Amino acid sequence: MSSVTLKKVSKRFTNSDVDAVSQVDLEIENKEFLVILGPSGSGKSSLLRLIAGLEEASNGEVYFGNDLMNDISPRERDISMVFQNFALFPNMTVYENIAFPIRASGKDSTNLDSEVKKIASMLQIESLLDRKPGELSGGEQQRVSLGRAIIKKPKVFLMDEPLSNLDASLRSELRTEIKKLHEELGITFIYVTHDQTEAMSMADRIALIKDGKLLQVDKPDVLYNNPNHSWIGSFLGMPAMNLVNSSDLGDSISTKKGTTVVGIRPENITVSSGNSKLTGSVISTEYLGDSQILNVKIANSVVKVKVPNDSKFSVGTDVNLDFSDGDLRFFSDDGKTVR
Amino acid sequence: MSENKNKKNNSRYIRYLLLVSAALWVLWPISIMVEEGFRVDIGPLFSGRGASFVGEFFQGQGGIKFSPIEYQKALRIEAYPRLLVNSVIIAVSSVLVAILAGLPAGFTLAMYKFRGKAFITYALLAMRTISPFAVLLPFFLIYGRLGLFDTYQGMAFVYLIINLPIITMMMRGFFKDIPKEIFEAAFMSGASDSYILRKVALPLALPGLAAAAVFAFVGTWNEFFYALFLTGAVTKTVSRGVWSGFSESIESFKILEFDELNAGGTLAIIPAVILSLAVQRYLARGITLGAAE
Amino acid sequence: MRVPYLFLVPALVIIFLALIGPVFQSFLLSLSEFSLVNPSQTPVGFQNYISLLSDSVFWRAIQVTLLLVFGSVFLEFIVGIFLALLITSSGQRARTWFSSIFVIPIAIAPIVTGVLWSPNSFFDDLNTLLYYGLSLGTYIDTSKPFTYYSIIVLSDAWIWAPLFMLVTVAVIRSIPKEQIEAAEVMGASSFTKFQKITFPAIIASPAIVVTLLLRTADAFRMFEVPYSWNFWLGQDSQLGAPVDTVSVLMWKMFSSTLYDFPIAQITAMAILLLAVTLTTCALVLRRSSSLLD
Ligand SMILES: Nc1ncnc2c1ncn2[C@@H]1O[C@H](COP(=O)(O)OP(=O)(O)O)[C@@H](O)[C@H]1O
Ligand SMILES: [Mg+2]
Repeated sequence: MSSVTLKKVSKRFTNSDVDAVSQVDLEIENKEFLVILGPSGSGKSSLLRLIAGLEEASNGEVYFGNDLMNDISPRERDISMVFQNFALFPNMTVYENIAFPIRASGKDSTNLDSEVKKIASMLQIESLLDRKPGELSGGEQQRVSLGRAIIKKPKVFLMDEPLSNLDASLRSELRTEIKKLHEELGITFIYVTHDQTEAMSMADRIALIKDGKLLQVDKPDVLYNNPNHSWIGSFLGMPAMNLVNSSDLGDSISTKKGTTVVGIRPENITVSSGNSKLTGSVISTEYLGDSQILNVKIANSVVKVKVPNDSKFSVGTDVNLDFSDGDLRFFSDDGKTVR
Repeated sequence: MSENKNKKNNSRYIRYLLLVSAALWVLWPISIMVEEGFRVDIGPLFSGRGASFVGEFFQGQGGIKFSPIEYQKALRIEAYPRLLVNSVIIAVSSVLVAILAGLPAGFTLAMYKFRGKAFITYALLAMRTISPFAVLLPFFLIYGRLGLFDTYQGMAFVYLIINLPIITMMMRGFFKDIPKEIFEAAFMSGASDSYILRKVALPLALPGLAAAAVFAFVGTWNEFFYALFLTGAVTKTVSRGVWSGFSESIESFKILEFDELNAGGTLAIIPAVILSLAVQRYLARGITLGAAE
Repeated sequence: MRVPYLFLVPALVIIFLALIGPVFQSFLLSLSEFSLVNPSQTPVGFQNYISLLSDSVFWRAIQVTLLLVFGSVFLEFIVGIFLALLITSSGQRARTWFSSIFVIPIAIAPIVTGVLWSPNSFFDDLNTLLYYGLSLGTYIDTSKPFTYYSIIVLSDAWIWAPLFMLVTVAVIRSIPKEQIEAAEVMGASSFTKFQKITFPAIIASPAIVVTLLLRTADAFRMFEVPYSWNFWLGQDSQLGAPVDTVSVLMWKMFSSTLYDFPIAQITAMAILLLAVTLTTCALVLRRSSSLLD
């Protein structure tokens, strides 16, 4: 059990002239479930591997609690990690895989057998203990790898896209279980993913990373509703936040000083017959099942509007759009939120 | 449409024709050796005379004399089984030592970045590529002083020059082939390097180790140069014996008898060819030490 | 991560004892006046190198070596690409069979290759066929320089073209399918595809460059086949014979009682050869994309 603190941590790989992780300051509280979210190649794995000690920081410091970790090898950091590709030992049975950390570290193993069985039953893999990883499905393999990770009761539990190799139904099932695991174990979880649904549903806080830089660390709802950068608005949400040049909006909308881009989420716009702040023509519609998206052209911009799935709009008709001013977000030239 | 098909078929025939010719080109010299070992001479089919031409020399012989006598001779000569045994003893012991040294080194090269890694890799490349003469004379002098000349230990040690780079670099490659997350999971479990090597890396790379060992064995089996200079009556190997005859002492080259040479050569290549075909998937890795990947 | 340096110790000990130590001693020997007959060493600086570089026999050996090196490597490179194209465009079963056949020569001891391609084996039957069988009244005279140089080059290519084939096949496999398909959609002929896609990919591949470099380094120490040709041509006791590569020349100086064991000159030659090896290995290390990962 331990907090994790990063101070100005950077990583530049040899043969590269950009930082994969750049000047990251991050404080992860004890027992927190922190999700590192970002697009592919943004440096999520690198950041996690820096915390694990699998990569050496080019600059900056990593602390567990108050202990500086920079020169401590991953062996001694008291962490566990779960990988996207499961990384089980293919030559060992499920039992041996789960028991490995205890056997390998030569720790006291008097209770090993009951420990392994307890963990196996917790993860519902008791019946698989004698099988080899090659004989298991992806979901089962990832359960085994979770078991191997928790048996040594680490201070910090690291996961790098653990669900990305699984199909959708398994993913949501395991999501719930990992969340439950976090509550039962009471240790710090750091979870990397590129999947915003995963991040939103599991995280206490989300650390959003792009091009190696940490953009915002906040609770999911804060991140969603009050992004401090227009890019975050356009990254989160399906569909993402509309970002419209303020010049396209005319005078009907009052913006804060310094604003060049105005953001609003598609679900916060309604099509109205009465009040209207903006008018545009429908250029296409996208049917999403539970709802429908209208693409509405306003001046030089296209605005997405989320409407009920049973409403009928034909391409080419003009629609009046309404929204509350409180849902508008204002961004300056460099993408930062204008407050 | 059918014209197109014809064209396709034609090019297929041409391709197979070329492949078959290439295969004949490869196999021809070998089959002639095997056949000459049987003292077969095709000359009589045409004129009753065989012929071979070396400059002005003309050597004629007559008659088809198919006979396994040269093979029997080669096998019956007291020295021949001895040569086989020598080659096996030297190659196996040298490969074993190379495994003991090369396995942990290959593991470290595969897993870690460290200062001196380039030096070791470079040294292994140089060791593989070096002209034997660049080390031969010191070996000659030192072996003379230490009494290692013409001994099994001495030969096993010399052949580490061939075997250490092969084992170390091939194993490095096989360890690299294992997803690195598997090792990272093991590291974070708190396992020591030797535990990981024994319980994780080696079991997963065991087929690779077998291939590397076979490859090194064949390399040693086939080696001629060091054998020519450093073996004598006690440790003479097969490839050395194939050339200099089976029964004489090291000093005198006996007049080469071609039938015998061919029979001996055939016998010498059989194990090497069989073993190499078994590991042919890894030939390029073995020859280039994994540099060409 | 803490590097287990202990794991490197056995390999390092062997590298020092079998490679660096002997090479260093060879270098010292090359700087002194020394022979087995008169074993007191007197330092003479670079005298041995100077006298070597003014020796026409040495230069002739260099010329022969360069001729054979570049002839062989070029030929096996071309033939290897050709074989790879044939192999990759045929069916799975043909591919397996033919590549197994093609790699056989790699498994054969080089000294046996010398025997295989000797006038008395290979050319015995061929000449009989030409002279008597087809009554052409002509035969391949292996005593002609052009003929025996060609044969040595051919036999080297016979062994090593399959290596280029293996590496080239891997390169061809790694060309993105979409590229080839796009070319096909645009109606490119097989030749255009080769010229515009396959060949540039082969040439640009580090694997091919590294293989070329390593083969060049290996060819520079070419010994067994030219050595055997000294016997086929009856020139084994004559310094500076037409098939004396640098290695063969060193062997002759070393083994012939006529020359009073000029060890210093031999080591000087070996050190010059070593410089070629070390340079090539350095290039290999630079060009190889993965060796130092
Ligand atoms: N071992 C490495 N060597 C060089 N560059 C790397 C290495 N690992 C990652 N990178 C680079 O660093 C950047 C971030 O990669 P990564 O942390 O894997 O991103 P993510 O996990 O968010 O997809 C990428 O541009 C990637 O190419
Ligand atoms: Mg990643």
